[in-house]
Amino acid sequence: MSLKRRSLIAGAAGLAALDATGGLLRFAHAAPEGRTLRAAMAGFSVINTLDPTKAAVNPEFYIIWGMFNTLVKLDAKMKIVPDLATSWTNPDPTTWEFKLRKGVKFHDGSELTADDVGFTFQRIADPKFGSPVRQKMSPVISVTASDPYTVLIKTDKPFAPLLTYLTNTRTSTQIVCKKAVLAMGDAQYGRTPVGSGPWKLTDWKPNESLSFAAHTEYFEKGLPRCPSLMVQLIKDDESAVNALLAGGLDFDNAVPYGDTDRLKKLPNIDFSSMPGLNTRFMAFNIQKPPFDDVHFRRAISMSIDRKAFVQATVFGQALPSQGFVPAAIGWAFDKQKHPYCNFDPAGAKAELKKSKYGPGTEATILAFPDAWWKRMAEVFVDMANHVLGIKLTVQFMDARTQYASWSKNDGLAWSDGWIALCDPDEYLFDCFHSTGWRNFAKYSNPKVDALLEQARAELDREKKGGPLYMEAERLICEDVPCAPLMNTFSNSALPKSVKGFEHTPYDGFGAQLAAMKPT
Amino acid sequence: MLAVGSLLIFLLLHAGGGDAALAALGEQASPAAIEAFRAEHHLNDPLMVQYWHWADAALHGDFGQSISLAGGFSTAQLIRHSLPNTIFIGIYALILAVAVSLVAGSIAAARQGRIEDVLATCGAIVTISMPDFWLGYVLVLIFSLGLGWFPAYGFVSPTTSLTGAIHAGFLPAVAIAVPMAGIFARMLRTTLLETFRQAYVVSAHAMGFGRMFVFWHYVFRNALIPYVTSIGLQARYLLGGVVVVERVFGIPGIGSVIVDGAFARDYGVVQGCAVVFLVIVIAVNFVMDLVCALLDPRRAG
Repeated sequence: MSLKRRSLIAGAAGLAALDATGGLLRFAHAAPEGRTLRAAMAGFSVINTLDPTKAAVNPEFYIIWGMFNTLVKLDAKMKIVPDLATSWTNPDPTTWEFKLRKGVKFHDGSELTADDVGFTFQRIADPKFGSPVRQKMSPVISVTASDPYTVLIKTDKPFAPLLTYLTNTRTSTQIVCKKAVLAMGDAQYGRTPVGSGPWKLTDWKPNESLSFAAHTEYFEKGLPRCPSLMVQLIKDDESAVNALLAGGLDFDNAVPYGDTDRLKKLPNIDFSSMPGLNTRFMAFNIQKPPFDDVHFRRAISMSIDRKAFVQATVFGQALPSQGFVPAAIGWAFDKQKHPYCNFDPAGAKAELKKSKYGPGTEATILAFPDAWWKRMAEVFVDMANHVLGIKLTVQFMDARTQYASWSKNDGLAWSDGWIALCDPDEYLFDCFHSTGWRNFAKYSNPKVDALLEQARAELDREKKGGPLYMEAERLICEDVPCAPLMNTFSNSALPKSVKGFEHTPYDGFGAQLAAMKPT
Repeated sequence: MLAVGSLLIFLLLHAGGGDAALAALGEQASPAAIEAFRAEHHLNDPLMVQYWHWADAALHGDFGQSISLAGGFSTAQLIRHSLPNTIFIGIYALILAVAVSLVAGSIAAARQGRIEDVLATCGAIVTISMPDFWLGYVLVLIFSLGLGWFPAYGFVSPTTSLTGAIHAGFLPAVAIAVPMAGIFARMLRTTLLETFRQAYVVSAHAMGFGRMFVFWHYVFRNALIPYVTSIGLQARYLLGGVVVVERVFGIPGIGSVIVDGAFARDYGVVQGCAVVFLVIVIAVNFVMDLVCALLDPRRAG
């Protein structure tokens, strides 16, 4: 058995060498038949790194999802299912034991073991490496291997969101290949990464496209279904639709909201839409007037007709939000009505009367100048001004300048969205706990803090954790440090001739592409 | 000139605010990670020190590495990859614009006040007022989605296949060429008409030379000088203005690199591209001056 594996590795290494020089791999290996799958990543053109531990922004993760695996993953219904780990248990509330799948191969032919898992978490925790998720993963105090296929993760306190943070989403916990990282160094690994996922990087043209070959030793039999993949970075999302309609693409992951009606009517196009994992909101700086007054904030939130808002900003391509946890996370989604986060013009005027600030109050809201983000702020300001007779105005500022301004808690209010977050803890604890890292305006409510801490520690999430998050959210929605606005749809389009697409709320770009095949 | 230009760009970029660390690490990054990134890339140094480091390396031909646009790629690599595409599309558009404007401008001047002139002048005004991105979408709608003659998106590099590049580049070249052709044609018409009124043209007519002979030998050649100068001035537009068209058609050109670089606050990349821009604009204007000198009949005497 061991001899067999060794010869296999040697063979794979030999073939990899051939591939590097002449490209004979195709003849020797049973790669899937057919043509290259052509996918668009619409709306983005910048990918700075493909090292999962270093990656920070959505487009980077879209690519990483297809090249790497994680211990567990989310299915289309947001249930956590096995990926590299086939099973997991909690011997005690602060210990997680994962049993790894055997025989998982990296793109270089070496086997993925518990050692690689340990190495991945060492890198995340290393302050010198500076992983963007170091803070987020700080509850993890140790990751050890009791044998090559068993991983033990210990946390300082019971930490229920951990499993979500180990899924193949925007987590940075994708397992890296220790051997490859050590051989090529961190910087080079970000450019020529070696993962265990269905797609193996063959070419990267910055700001243009990335090419991949099928990982023929991928552990999920039959995947990927195409011999190769080309991902085009198409900054202008209208152009992606044009390319799709002209037959130059097999998949467009982000159809502009204005184009949805047109695409739905086309006979040869499959248009797929579902509420995504996001919440778009208006955040208030509760440290500064006029947003330091809860009645003023409530008045504004109640003056927004969210149904009309959705029509006016994204052509109806969203659910109106009255809370922060999106509907896709069913077990933590609160259906009970939150009075201060629903349209109620009479109530809004009554709250304004109670406020120290009356009609005529002026304030400036920061907004992104791009596409519908711009409309979002304009419509918001218009609705609030119309109902309350206040004088809100919008100042447009690009995202990078704005982030810098929020983290210094400079502005008065800003519109933004939490995107591709998969756990209620990321929406509630990170943004509204007094110690939450995303709580820029320093919102603090001891009752909310206590509930969120309890929810974090509750390992039975669906039955007991969910109600705790909902209770915390109700309290937050009474204080309105942010006004929830809408939960936009994830819209994809592909030609009817392309089969195997499964839409998920978190847009599993990489994994979706592995199962797709043009016919 | 280059030093002043690059310093200005450098200061303007930094005046814009924002942070390369935030661009590279995302809004999820902890303050510690941001600090580490800033230290690693010397972003905490005083501005003039940062500029000096950049300028010193640039003088030795090293434009440095991208830090937040395409980490690990060198600025030189990004430019080498994107510049030929922009130059190709630029020259392609220029050829189309010159060809169309020479014909339209000459006809309009020769038939001044008649129906041909009215048509050509109206056409020029309409094309000048047409936004190029809008024209791009319209061209795609008609010629790729409707007729299927050209690809709607994507570009073939001229280094891969020249015919492929000419085919895939046609619509974007037209989108850029159309407003330029309008400007050129009006320019040519005006200068031709002015030249018609010059004393030496009037006397050439008086000497009994044929209409066509006077046009080619006395009018056209002299009118070309301001025309060629205006083409040189449009080179700036070619480099900067094609960004939008690059986006619409997915041409991986230097305009997209500089815009993405600016949004990602990748100062080194923007600086490198800007210097290349400056060099090109200066070179093009120099060449145009030479061409004008060659055209000038006084040169011989």
